[in-house]
Parts: sequence; C-alpha cells; structure tokens
Amino acid sequence: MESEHRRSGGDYAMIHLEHLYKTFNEGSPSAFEALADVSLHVNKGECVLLQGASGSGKSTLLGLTAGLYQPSAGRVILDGETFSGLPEHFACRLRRQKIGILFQQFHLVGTLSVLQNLALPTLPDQKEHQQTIHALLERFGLTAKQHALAQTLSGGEQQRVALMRALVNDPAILLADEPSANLDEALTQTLLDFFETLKQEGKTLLIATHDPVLLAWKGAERIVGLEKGRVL
Amino acid sequence: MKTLFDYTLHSFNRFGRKNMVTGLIFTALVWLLSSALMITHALKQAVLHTSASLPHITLTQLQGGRPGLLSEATLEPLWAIRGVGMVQGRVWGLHYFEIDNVYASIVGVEPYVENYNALSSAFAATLPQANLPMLTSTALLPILQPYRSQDKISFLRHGGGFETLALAGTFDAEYSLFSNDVIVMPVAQARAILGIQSGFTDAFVHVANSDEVATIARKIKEANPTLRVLTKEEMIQGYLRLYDYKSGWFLGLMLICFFTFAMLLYDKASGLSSQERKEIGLLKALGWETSHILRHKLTEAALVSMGGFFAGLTLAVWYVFGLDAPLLRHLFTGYSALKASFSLPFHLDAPLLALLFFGTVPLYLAACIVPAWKASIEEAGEIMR
Amino acid sequence: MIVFTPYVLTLLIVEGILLLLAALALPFSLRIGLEFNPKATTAFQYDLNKKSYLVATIIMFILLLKLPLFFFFIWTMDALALSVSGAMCAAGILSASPWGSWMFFVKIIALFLLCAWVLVHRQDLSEPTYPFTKQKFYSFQGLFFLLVVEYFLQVAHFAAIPTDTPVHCCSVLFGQNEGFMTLFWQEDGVILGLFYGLYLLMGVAYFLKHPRLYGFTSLVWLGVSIYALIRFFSPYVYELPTHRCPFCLLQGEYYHVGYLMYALAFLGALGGVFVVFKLFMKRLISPFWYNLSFTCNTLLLLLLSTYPLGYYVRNGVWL
Repeated sequence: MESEHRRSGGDYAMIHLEHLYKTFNEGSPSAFEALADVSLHVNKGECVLLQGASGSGKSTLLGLTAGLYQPSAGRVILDGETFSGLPEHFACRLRRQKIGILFQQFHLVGTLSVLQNLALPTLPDQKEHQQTIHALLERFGLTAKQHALAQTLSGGEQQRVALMRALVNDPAILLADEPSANLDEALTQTLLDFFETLKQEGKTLLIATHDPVLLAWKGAERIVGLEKGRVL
Repeated sequence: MKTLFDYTLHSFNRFGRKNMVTGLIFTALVWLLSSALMITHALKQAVLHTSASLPHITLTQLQGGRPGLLSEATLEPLWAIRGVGMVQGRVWGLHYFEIDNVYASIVGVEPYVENYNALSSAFAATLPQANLPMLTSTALLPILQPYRSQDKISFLRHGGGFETLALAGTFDAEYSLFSNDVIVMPVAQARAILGIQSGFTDAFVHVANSDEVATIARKIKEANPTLRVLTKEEMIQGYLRLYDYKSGWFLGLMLICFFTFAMLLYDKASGLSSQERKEIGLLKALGWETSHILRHKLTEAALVSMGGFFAGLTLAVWYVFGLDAPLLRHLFTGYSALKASFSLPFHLDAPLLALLFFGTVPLYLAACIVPAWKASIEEAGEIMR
Repeated sequence: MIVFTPYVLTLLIVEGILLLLAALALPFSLRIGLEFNPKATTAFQYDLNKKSYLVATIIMFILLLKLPLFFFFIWTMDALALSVSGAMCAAGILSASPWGSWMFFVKIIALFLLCAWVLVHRQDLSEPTYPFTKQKFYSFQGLFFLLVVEYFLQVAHFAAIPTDTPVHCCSVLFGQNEGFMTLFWQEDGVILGLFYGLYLLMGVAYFLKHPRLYGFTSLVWLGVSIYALIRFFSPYVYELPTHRCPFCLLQGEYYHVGYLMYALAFLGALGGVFVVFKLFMKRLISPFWYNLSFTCNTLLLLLLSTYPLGYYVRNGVWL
C-alpha cells in the first residue's frame, strides 16, 4: 500500500485527488464525461467547499472520493492510502472506517427507527457501537425519538439523523452533498454550527453546495469552483 | 439491530409479502411430499415390525400358474429335508360380507399344533375348553353386527347352510395393517365356511437354523418345482420394494412440481422492488460489501425455506398420524372399498427427516443463489446522482 | 429399480442440482481464471470481479451441502441394505457394483478438495492484491470434472445394484481368507507397527512444525488408520474376530461410534491438507491447523486403542 504525504503549507493532506477523469457509460453512444482532469487536496481539519451549478460534476467528485464508483483515470488517495483501484473488500472497509457521507436527500430508511438507521453502517463490522450511538443521540438531542420511525421525523430531525449516521463510525472525513438543500435558514445555521464543531474535533470536510449561505461561511478554508467537470 | 441477521429479520417485516407467497407454496409442497413419504415409511416400519412373526418359508401350490390347494401328500416329503424343523399347512381364505360389501380373512387354527404367530397360538390353547369360539379384530365388529345374535355369529357356509360360532373376544392388533381383517376360528369351521374340505391354502416351514433359510428354500424348490417358495427375507424385501417403488414414483412426480416452483421462485426473487434496490444502493454507500448483501439475501432465503420446511413437516405429521392421511394413503395401500380401514403406526427417524430436508430445502436455496447475487451487485453510485 | 427408491432418487436429485450450479459457474470461472487482473480498473475487470462473487458463492454452497449430504449418502446405503438381499450393511451395497468403491473414493477426494478451495479462497480475499484469484478459479475446472465423474459413478453404481441376485456382505468382503496364508500387510504386527509408528513420526513433525513432513505423514496416516480400523480394531468393537467392517460401526448397536471415528479421521486429515496448501501458497501456517489435525488424530488413536485394551482387561485374552 502506498503511503504518500503531500505537504502543503506544513499540513497533512487527508484527501488527495490526482488528475481524476470520469466518463459514464464508457464505450456506448450515451457516454458522457462528468469529470476531466480534476486535482484537489484537502488537508486534515480543513473544510473545502465545491461550488458549481447543477451538472457541474460536484456529486460525481464526491462519489469518486467516497469510492462509490471508480475513476476512468487518476487516483484517489485518502489518509495516505490509495483508495481507487482497491478491491471491494478493502475499499468498503476503508469507506466504513474513514468516510461519513451526508446525502442531499438524506436517504434514511423510512421504515426503520432512528436507532436502526444509525446501526446500519456498523453492522458489517459487528463491533459494539451502542455507546457511540447513544452518545450521538444525546449530543444531537434525539434520545427521546430513538425508536421513532425515520419517516415520521421532521426535515430537521431527519437531517440530524443523517448526520449522526455519517458520524457513527467516527470517520476522519465527512463528505456532504448539498446538505442545506432541504433546510430553512435557521436549520442551515444549526448545520454550520455542527460543521464547526466537527472541524474543531479534527475532522476533514468536503462539501458540495451552491447555497450562498454556505458559500459565505467563514469556517470554510477554500472554495473550489467546478464547471462542466473541470476545476475553474 | 446488532448483526446482519437482525437486519434480515427486520427486512421480513418490510419486504415480506413476496416471501409469504413463495413460503406458503413451498410449505404446501413440503407437506405433500412429507405426507407421502411418511405414509410409506410407516408402512415399511409396519412390515419390518411384523416380520418377526412371519414364517421362515411360506409355500403355495401353483396350478396352471395360479395358487391352488396344497395336499398333505405334497407336504409329507419335505420333513425329510435336513434342516427343516417343521412343516405345517394352514387353512385360511377370504369371506365376503354382502351387507357391508367387505372381505375378511378367516384363519383356521388347530389345537396342539404349533402356529406361526403368538395370537393364533394363544387362541389355539383355548380351543379344547370353549365351545366353537372365534376371535376377531375390533375393526371387524361393526361389520359382523348384522350376522350377530347376542354373542353368536353366523357365517354362510360354502355350499349352503350356516356355521355359528361364539365370539370369544377381540384383539386390537398393534399393527392393524396386517390383521385388521382377520377372524380366527377352529379349523373345522374354517374349512366348512371356506369350502376347503381337504388340503391347505398354504404351508409354512420352520427352519432349525435361521441362517440356513435360503438353502432350505432352494432344496424345497428342487424337490418340488411346482411349489412357490417364498422366504421371509424375500417377503419383507418385496413389501419394502413395493413401497419404495410407489414412493419413488410419487417423489419423481413431485419433482416436476418442485422444479416449476423453483422457476417461479427464481422469477419472484429476481424482481427487486425499486425500494429494495434503493436500499441496497444505500447500504453499499454506507460501506456494506457485496458479500454482506449476498449473505443477507441468502439468509432470507434460508429462513423462508427452513420455516416452510418445518411448517410443512408439522402439518404432515398431523395429517398422516393425526388424521390417518385420508385420500393420500390409498395411493400407497391400494384403494379397496372391500377392505377394513387401519391406522398408520407413528414412526419418524433421522434418515427420513434428512430425506425430507434434502428433497426440499436445497432446491429452494439453489433457486435463490443467482437472484441473491444479482441483488448484491447493485451499484451504489446511483445514490449520488 | 434401485434408482427410483426415495433415498437414492433424492440423493441423485440434490447432487444433480449441485452439478447444475457448478456447470453454471464453470464458464465464468474459466474466464476469470484466464483474464482476471486485479490491478486493472476497466469495466470488464469490474464485471469479472462481480462474477467472481457468484462463482465463489456457488462453490461454497456446494461444499456446505456436500458435507451433510455425505451423511445422507451413508444413510442411503444403509437403508438400501434392507432391500437388497445379501447386504447386511452399507458395505454390501458399496460392493454391489464395480463402481461402488471408486464412487466412494472420488466422493472423499472431492470433499477434501472443496475444503481446500475454500481455504485458498479465504486466503486470497484477505490480501488486497488478490494473489490467488486466477489460480483458484482456473483450478475449478479440475474440481468440476471431479464432480461430474462423481455424479456419473453414483448413477452407474445405483443403477447396477442387482435386485434379484444376492450381494456380498461385509464378512465376505473384509474377512480373512481361511486356509490361505496371511499376506504381509494383513499381519497384526505390521498393521500396528505402521499405525503407531507413523503416529509417532507425525508427532515429531507436529512438534517441529515441519509442514512437508507433517502434511505427508498425516495424509498417509489417514489411509493407515482406516486400514487398521478395518483389519485390527473393528473386530474388537464387534467383539468378533471374523467381523471386519467399516460400516457396521455406524449402526446403533455399536452406539454409532463409527461417526465419531470417521469425523476425527476426516478432521485430522483436513488439517494436514490445509497445512500442505498453505505451504503451496507460501503463506504463514497458523498453529491452529496443526493443533486441529494432531488433536483429532490423537483422539482417534486413543479411541481406537481403548477397544482392544478394554477387551483384554475384561477378558484376559486378545481376539
């Protein structure tokens, strides 16, 4: 396993994306290039915002970083380990251990309870996570609703559950795809407060957004623009 | 929810309807197959159990290829064969009861002569004291009712007239399959009723050393080729093979049902609902591997098949041993309105249960492997788009 | 015909289903064996990777079913003994056709090789470079061929069992020919010498953790122990000097002790097989496999030895 430490201003690069290309439906008439020659690094404890209109490739970039699909070319290196090209078993294990994902649509399992939704990322490793789950519930103020079905929760509550689920394995990296898309201003501010806390805990954040409130957030070190799959 | 197994259990509640249909059909098929095999198994056990009372060798006289009467002169020379312990003729035959349209077996018993089973011997011991007694099974009592006056029963004699006998008692045969239709009486009366004035219906041979049965049987055959010689082993094997043959055919036919079911199952299992598909994509995004999804889907299949198996098996036990397998058992014992009914003896053992398990569950699981795999290779990428 | 009896029919159907699944896996396994490249990240390779899950699942399913099915196979043969004249136990059924012994032998080999395949599979998946993927899937071709041979031997054997002529029973098959000179390898001294001597050698290999020596001795000991069981130890179980049978041990009157004996023999040999395969893969051999193998072999030795010793203690003589 390669171990690379890219130094930038004395900091350790938690996420290192090297000349990434991604073409969907390769070889077929409907093939389209979603990303072209994208390079990016995010240092430990940093928060980088990906800005771009719909279809600019933000979600694709996040998907590649999370290992949800493989790049057509280029490399994804997370915490010093080359992630792209890893066999599935090792890639999934890395994803479980290092990455938490906050989806735009939350993607909670509506017919499971809050507690059960939080347990989902922990089941493959079969390690004891009850304490962590209860600590998260307390932290985010949802202990009373732990047995409620996810589909009965309000938008803000669902978002908190989604965030808790992303953090249940204590990942070093949090990827968020348009996290404020379904929130009002007050909830967006709450979200930003959570992000700030996570940064202080040393977590690395990569957030895709075109929300001006998020883009104006002082907590983000950098904003990277994307257009038609290329970095601006 | 602490393990993948917990997740599978929870999924039953959420996506269970599809499994319910296939589970119910599977239960019905297991019930049908289990019932059939339990019936033949019970019949085989009855044969094996009563084999202890079967004579070493049974002889019948063939005349023109059909069974005829054995004469004393035919049996006499057999005593000279070395190894033969005893040769004894038997008088028995079928008697028709017109009112119930049923046949019963009448067996003649002589005192001071060794009989081949304990029942006849015990009865024979009472003959000198009692006045023309008869013994019958409890199942025949209702059929004998029209011919009964107090404790005397009249039988139509062959050639006209009646033979009246006193009912000395009834027996409740342990294995009613073979003696349910038997009436035991003194041999003179049996001869009169059956019209066998001289000679014997068949004869049994006791061999001093039971290891020599096959040799003695061969010698008897050589001494008199017109006799049909049947050893105890051959008789048992004949019955076992008959039941094996019948149940084998039934199994073969059930196979067609099972394979059709397997195709139905494959089809159903392959069709993932969009909700399920989405959920699998989500699980993969959360870090579940293909092997975890596979394990989940195969555990689901295992639970449905095992549940169906135990349910079908339980229903079959109740149907065969509780209800006496109405309709189905006639397939194996032959339907005859002319015969009295009997009950199937309860007998289950590990090899039979293994037979039922292997005949059902593996096919279910095999049909689910490819659909489970197809579900497990769903991509996680869609979730980000 | 014997083939239509429920036990045999069920056995052949289940084995047939497994063979069908194996046939389904065959073309994929060949493709993976020839073209898999774990370093490549093309769509074709991802497709091969996905197919590898299907093939591996099928092979694991076959193994998981074949293990209990082997017991069912023994019960089938025992059940048939009632319906076939001359046969007193499964030994008679096995000898009833020229294919019986081969069928049995191939079955055992197939079980061992399937277990070994799973070992290689698990080792392969534990390393990110998937170093054995090509070989393990390519070797499935050989396994498949063995499964086909096994199946056809079974069909041929059961179809050939006569229903009208008696077959031999175990005392004829395994009995010593009276009046003839005992052959060298039938001598008690030689049998026991080999049995205990080889065990001691295996013990030395165990303590030294020498994989080649241990693998060799444990596999040879399997054959020697079965032979010793049949020729020397089984008469002490039956307490009859002329009764030498490997199958009557499984029956209730001997407390089904045969199942324990054969389970120990199988596990003992399996551990040895795993040591050898780990050696071929040039990977660290966990002490667990040595321990499993040697413990089972030791227990087997002790179990077998108690019968003649117990007989001598009770009766003051040997058989």
